Amino acid sequence: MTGLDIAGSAWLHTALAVALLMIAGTVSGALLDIRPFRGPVIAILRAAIQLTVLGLILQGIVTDLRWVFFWLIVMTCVAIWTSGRRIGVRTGQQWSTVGFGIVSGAGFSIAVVLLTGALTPTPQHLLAIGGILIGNAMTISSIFGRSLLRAVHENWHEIEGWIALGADTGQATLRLRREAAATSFLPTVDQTRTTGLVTLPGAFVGSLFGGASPIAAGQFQLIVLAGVLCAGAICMLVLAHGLAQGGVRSLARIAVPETKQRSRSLLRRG
Amino acid sequence: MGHGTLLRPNGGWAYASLMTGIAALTFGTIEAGKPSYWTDEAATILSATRSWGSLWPMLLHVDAVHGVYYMLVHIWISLVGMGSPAMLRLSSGLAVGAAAAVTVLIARELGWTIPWAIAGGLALAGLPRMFLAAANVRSEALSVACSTLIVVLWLRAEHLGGRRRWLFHALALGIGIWIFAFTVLLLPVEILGRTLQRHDRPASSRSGWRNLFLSQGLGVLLGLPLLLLAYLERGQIAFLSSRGELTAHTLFTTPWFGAVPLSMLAWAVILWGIFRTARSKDIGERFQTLMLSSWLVVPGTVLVLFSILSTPMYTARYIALSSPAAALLLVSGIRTFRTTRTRVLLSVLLVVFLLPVLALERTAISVHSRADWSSVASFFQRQARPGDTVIYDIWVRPSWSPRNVSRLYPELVPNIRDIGLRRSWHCAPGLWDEPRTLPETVRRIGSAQRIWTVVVNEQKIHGRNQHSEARLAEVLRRRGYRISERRQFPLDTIVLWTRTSDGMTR
Repeated sequence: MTGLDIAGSAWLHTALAVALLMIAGTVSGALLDIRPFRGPVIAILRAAIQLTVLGLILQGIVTDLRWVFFWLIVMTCVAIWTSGRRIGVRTGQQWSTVGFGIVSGAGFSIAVVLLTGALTPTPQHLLAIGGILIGNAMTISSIFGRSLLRAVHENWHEIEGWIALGADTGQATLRLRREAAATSFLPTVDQTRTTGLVTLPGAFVGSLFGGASPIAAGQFQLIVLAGVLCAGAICMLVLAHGLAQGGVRSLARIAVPETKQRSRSLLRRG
Repeated sequence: MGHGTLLRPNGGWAYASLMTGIAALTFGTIEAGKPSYWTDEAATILSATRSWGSLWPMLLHVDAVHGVYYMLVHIWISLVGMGSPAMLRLSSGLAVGAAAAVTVLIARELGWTIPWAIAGGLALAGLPRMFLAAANVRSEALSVACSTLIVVLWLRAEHLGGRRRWLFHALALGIGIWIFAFTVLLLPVEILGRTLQRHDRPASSRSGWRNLFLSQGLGVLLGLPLLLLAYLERGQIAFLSSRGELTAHTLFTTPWFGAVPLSMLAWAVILWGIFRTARSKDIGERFQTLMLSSWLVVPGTVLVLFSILSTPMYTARYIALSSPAAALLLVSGIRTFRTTRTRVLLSVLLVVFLLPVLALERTAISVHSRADWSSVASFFQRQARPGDTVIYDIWVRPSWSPRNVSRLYPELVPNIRDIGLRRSWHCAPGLWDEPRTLPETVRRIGSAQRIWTVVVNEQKIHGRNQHSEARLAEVLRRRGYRISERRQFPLDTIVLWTRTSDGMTR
């Protein structure tokens, strides 16, 4: 069997390999007395079901551009919902900021990739690049949002001091936003720098398995890495601007709820 | 598990179920007689109008999987006659009504309130697939009704226990398999459902598993003869291998929603509902979402996997048995929106997208079947004279043969001489009439003055690349006939040939 091929009886080989790995993993876990013993088995079975369903959905979707767009919209909605919940946003303005951040970041990168002709706009390409970029934009959005709010929480007195001196919200949180952005961006930059040295990236391996030449797989991976960096940066820019735009009161509501009353009175005086 | 499981049966639910069933039946019968009969219905009607003595040998030869349904239609025809398509299709309308009524009871088992349960039942009747099934003399509607019955009995047995309930479940499963073999696809749904339920209720006993497996085993045992016959006659679905059935359209649109815009909106609502409730803290809400999702997804997934790994057997109509899950998840998705205004707005939007799809299914030549046989029959009624001769397309697959027009609309096609018929369907071992070859047919033309030819336009319906009209025209011209009239319908073309004065000398 060359590569992964489920045609014919080859899937039996896959099942055998997975079963052996699952048994070995379960036995090793049992020797360490990791309970419940059936945990790994259930996890693998669940993964098998989920991957099967996903595979079948994608098999259908990649045949029709309209369904690819539909699926990307669904992914975007789920990404916005997940990221917003993870950050803890409350107001409509904050939800809009998170949504606009993810959509503009991923959307701009996809547009550049397609308009420059780096990728042909086939359903397969659109689904692959769209899925990767939306997912990464969501991750960066969540990490940035949480980092910023943690920083606001920890440095609340500094912000109050800035505002007391007459600064607006943007000026008061400028340092914190920069630090949060640097923290959030670090994993993505590191991943890009160490590509091929520490890990083999998924898109590269996937393209190779899909039959692309190593050169073509490398080209696709490069596009993905650049796209992820761009999507993440734009997403953070929108979030940093948008969350600060909402004002101190709005930021305080999600970062330091206990100081809500204080910030309100502070703003009234300001 | 939802609170509804603790409720005792009461008049409110029975009344809601009954009223929903009647509403679904009424809705399903709207213009049910208008679309032309088509190939699948022709198979049902030709089989069901056989004598009992002729039906048995046929079932051992072909279509055993539909045998019980053909017998039921045989009985139905003996009750209501072959009077009109609407009357014949009423049997399917009744099945859709029953399915909607039982769907209300499923919603009750899942802990829904009566208004939402009614909405679930009505949503099922409104699904384009079910609207189509309600006007289709085929086992689809009845198999959906059976699947709802199996699921409600399973939920009742899970909630309340008792041997009798598990026995009823087994019986329903056995009957369901005899109506439609792929009803066995509900087995993994039930197992998955029980796993999910058990996950939420760790105290669930081993006896629950034992009861489920015993009941499922008994049900499969009851349906085993049919399953064996279906396996022996599996060659019947070999045509699916040439169809390329696994597309976004056949996977997401055709099974339930009929058109892409409606399908996308409905899927968006369903996915939103699943996303919002699958991780809910409410155990009942989480269970119902996961159970309905598995009912929606598992049967299709199993068929698609078989199609990829082994024999192609996926076709959208086989997973119609998941329709109640689609309807309930759709309503569940609407429920997750908090404000009444949003719910109403979404419902109106769905109806706006739905109506054109439904309207297109109730035209004389429906989008789904593309059959024009009722139009052809009406044309014959107006134009043909008793004593005329007719030659039906010889090269077409028997299910698409225009000869079916004379079988399905005998009252509209006058007494004309069919010279291409070798053996009538009720004497043949297979489903269809057996045609003569072209030379045999031509030899029987004799001194006919007027000959009608009815041929199928689409070449892909023919077994091979044959131009039926051109071949028949060549033969008839050589024998001195010329075209007097030609009428083309979407699927068939009718030509009237009359003998020229010098034709006799050629």
